[in-house]
Amino acid sequence: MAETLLRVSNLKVNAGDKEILHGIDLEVKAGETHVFMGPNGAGKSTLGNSIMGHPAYEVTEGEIYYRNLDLLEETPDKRAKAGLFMTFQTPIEVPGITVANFMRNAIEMRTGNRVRIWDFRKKIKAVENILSIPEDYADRDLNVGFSGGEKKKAEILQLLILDPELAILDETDSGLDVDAVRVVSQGIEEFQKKEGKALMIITHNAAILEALKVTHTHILVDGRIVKNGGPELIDEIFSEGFEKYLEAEANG
Amino acid sequence: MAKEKTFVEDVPRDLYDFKDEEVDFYRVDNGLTEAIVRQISEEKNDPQWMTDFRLHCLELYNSLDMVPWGPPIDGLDMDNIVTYVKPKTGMAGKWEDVPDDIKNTFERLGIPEAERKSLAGVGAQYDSELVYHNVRAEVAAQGVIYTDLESAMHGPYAEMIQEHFMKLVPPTDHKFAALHGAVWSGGSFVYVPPGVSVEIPLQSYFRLNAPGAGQFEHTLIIVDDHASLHFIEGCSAPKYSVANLHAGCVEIFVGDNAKMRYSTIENWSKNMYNLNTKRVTVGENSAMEWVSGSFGSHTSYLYPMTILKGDHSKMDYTGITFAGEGQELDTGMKVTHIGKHTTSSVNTRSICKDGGISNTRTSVVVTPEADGSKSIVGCTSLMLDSKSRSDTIPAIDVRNHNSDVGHEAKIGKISDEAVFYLMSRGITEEDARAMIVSGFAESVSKELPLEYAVEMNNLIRLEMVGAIG
Amino acid sequence: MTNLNTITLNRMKMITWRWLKMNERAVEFPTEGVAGEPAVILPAGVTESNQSVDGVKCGCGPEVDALLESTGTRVFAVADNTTVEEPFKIRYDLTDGLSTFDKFGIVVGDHAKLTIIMDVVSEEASAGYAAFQTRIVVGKESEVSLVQIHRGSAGYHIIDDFGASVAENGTFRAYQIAFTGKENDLGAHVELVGDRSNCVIHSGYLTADDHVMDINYYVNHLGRSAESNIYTSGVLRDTCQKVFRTTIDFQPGAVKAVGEENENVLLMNDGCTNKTVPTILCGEEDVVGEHGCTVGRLADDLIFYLESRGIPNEEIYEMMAKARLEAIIRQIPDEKTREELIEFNNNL
Repeated sequence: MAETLLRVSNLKVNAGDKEILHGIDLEVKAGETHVFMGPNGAGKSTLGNSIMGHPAYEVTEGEIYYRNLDLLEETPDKRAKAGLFMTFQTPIEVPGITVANFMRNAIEMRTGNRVRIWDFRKKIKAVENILSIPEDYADRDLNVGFSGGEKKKAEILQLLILDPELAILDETDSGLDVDAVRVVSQGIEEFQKKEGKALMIITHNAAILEALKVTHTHILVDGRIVKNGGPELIDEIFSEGFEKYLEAEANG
Repeated sequence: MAKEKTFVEDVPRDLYDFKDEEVDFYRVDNGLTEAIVRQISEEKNDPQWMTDFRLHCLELYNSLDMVPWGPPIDGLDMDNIVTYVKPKTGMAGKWEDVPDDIKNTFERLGIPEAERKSLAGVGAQYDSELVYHNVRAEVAAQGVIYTDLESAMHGPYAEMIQEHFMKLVPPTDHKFAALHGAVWSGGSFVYVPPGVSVEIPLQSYFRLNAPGAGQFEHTLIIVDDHASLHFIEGCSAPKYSVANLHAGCVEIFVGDNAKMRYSTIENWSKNMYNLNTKRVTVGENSAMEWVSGSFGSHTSYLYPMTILKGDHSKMDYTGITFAGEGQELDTGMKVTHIGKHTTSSVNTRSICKDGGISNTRTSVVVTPEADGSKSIVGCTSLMLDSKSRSDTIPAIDVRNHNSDVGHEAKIGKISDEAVFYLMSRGITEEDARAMIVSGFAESVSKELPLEYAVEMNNLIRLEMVGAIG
Repeated sequence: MTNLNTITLNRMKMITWRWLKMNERAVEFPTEGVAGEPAVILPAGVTESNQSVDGVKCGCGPEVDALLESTGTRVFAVADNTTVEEPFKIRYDLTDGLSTFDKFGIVVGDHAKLTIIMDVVSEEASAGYAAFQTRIVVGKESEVSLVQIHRGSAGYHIIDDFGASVAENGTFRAYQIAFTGKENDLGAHVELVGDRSNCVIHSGYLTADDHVMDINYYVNHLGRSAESNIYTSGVLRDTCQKVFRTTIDFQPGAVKAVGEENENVLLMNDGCTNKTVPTILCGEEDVVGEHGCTVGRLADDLIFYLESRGIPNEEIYEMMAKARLEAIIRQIPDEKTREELIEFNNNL
């Protein structure tokens, strides 16, 4: 029996004065890949941000546990230390810190161990090759002057180097051209192959999911999960859309 | 097509420029001496504390130096400014009782009509004295006081006035604040009791008719807790060849959970030295809004100051300055954050043309105790030709590390592309430029009551006529 | 006993309210000093010269000019059409009890290229005074970079003042990196005389303890289509005091000029004083002048982003403090200097 990593129960979340999530239940185990789909504004990103602890979202009810850790009591860095990672839709630009130095800092702070520069550079190089991104990437300032596609790739690079247990990918594929989607998808596949990892993928895009083994699919409408299912649900949505769930929500 | 005639529309340039014969008016001698100050005090039937205060201010006036920064004021010879000109009338509570010549003045300026249409109360000052004061019955019934400051000093609010008068703008502030303290005359006292919202604006209109005179009105506004008020100030004067001086003072005290908005359209004639001091202190959870349009005067020093004293208090400032030929307008604002989580947001626009000089001078101070405060200042300047000047001098002093202060300034000219675009659609160059300038000023005009927005746009249009070629 | 005198320096061209206390600074400074003994590396292509640079104005103002009036100027020159490959280095290691006064002049001819690195280090626990002025003439189509580095001790008061005059199509770049020291008064005055001349100033400072950093930059736009950019990044901590004044002055006739300045200040704690006054003076219609500045805390979304990668809040500020300076250091055109400073910054 695989280990449960994340348990979300009856989660209600406000942004400003408005309730965005109206009670979400969710369980993610090691080895699983969960896909979250739903129309714009359904609350998918809010869910990811709430798990990671974004200060703009206020949890008004419910629980989020990571293993035995009550995440709602922890700051985002502690959540990261516990094994979580989230890619950002718009990663922040940080001038003065290179991608490589940043990742090294992050690992050292998380593990408390010194990272040997030489080995670390080799590791980055290997990942850069997998992602077919140029090798000078790691020496550029974090996200500064990166194109939209480069930023997304840099997030995947961080995913593979920081090596969390549970990764939340928040529309990592949006706004990318076909080639970039392939690269990002390769990176995610690489992560999925490792032992004991779990993924939560928020997406609108079928292409990114093609090469991945999806175990669970959740459909979010208006702040609620209206349907849970397996990978077959993805095909259903891409051929039929959300209409039937929107109507059900409206009538229910 | 017949246009609806509104009281400010289609005004000829000489709207503000007409002057009245000065017959049998009471004037003190030129210049400033202890005897004159005593004479003014006596004439006004001041309480003793006020007489003493005036004399103390005179001493300060003589000891303080002229400010070393800002536009030159050499043209202002204090010995030639008559500090006190009193029209030969008492104060009236009905328009019919105001003497005809003065009444005509205000009627030509559209004041009574505005009162009927859109104001809760009106005060009108002519030279040194208020000649008219009226407040709507229903507003008065809520306990709102809107009266002249001098008689209020002898009424039930005497203590309140003594407690607040020139406490926010102390006479030590600068030389002209001291001058003001010594010779102030006229102006209004407004008190809005707790919980009272004055839904429609109160307005004071200041008219300086006498040549070579100074106007030194004092406006004291107290907005109590949970109350709200919108106060409008309008100013104008005919043009004379001698310098006139306006050194008014506005002090506003805003309580907790209260709201205050102060709007000004200043269109003094271009021989006026406008050295005005305005200041507000804002209580907890309260909001202060300034809307300020500066078009007139020869030289202006005008920087409304806000002290955000209460936690979660906030201030918005929207200002526009238009400096034309012969004008040097030094305008801006000051804000000091003291309370926690206080917010200030400032948007200034300045335009200069025909050799006009516009300086935007601001200061933002965040004290160590103002934790979590936020300030955003944006200053944009438009130069319409290279005879003119536009300077921006923003000072920022931040001592709290958990605050967030941003400042942006931009300076430039009207985009040739935009003019070309409009002209390609059949608009003349002159109109195109006027349209662009009006658009530039819109952030201010949209904050004004409709009548004032129209007046402001007319002023811009008038200024823009012949702006090319 | 050193004879101290009060002088006023770094006065803004256009002053403002006096109560803000940022118009200028008054300092106690020795009336006399002696020439220092810097380590100089003179690369091929730079020669000693007897040309005068007296016409070049500096940024600290007339009282610093007067202070150094009797100090001799060492003038160096680069001939027309000469690219000096190696940097011209001047390094001071200031020791205890000195009062050093020095003036330099550097005249770079047309179509030439030079990088000057002035490194002023005061030994730990030393106390003393130093005042420097550097006057630079940038010829037509030439490129001159001036790197000034300050690593001060808790006892040193340093005045470092420079001026540059830039001819047609000339480029002048200044990199001023100041790590905290007891008192630092920095001045710069750049005259963009020639058409299409340009200047870039990258300035980074870290001020800590009860130290003082006082800066006055002035760029005068005279030529047509000239361009100026000032980028500043600063970090303040403890009870230090900093005043940063910049003035971009567009003169009538400086048609199509572009001037931009930008300052970011990170305050690490309450108790430090941060004063900024970024002035734009404009007497010409056809220019673009812009200024932006942000002071205070880090943006919430930045903090969340870094936290989500596992970096604790208190580390984020330390990390960003280093990053702010490193971003400026990385602009320095000499690799060796760059690496040395990045390491110095990391080990602070």
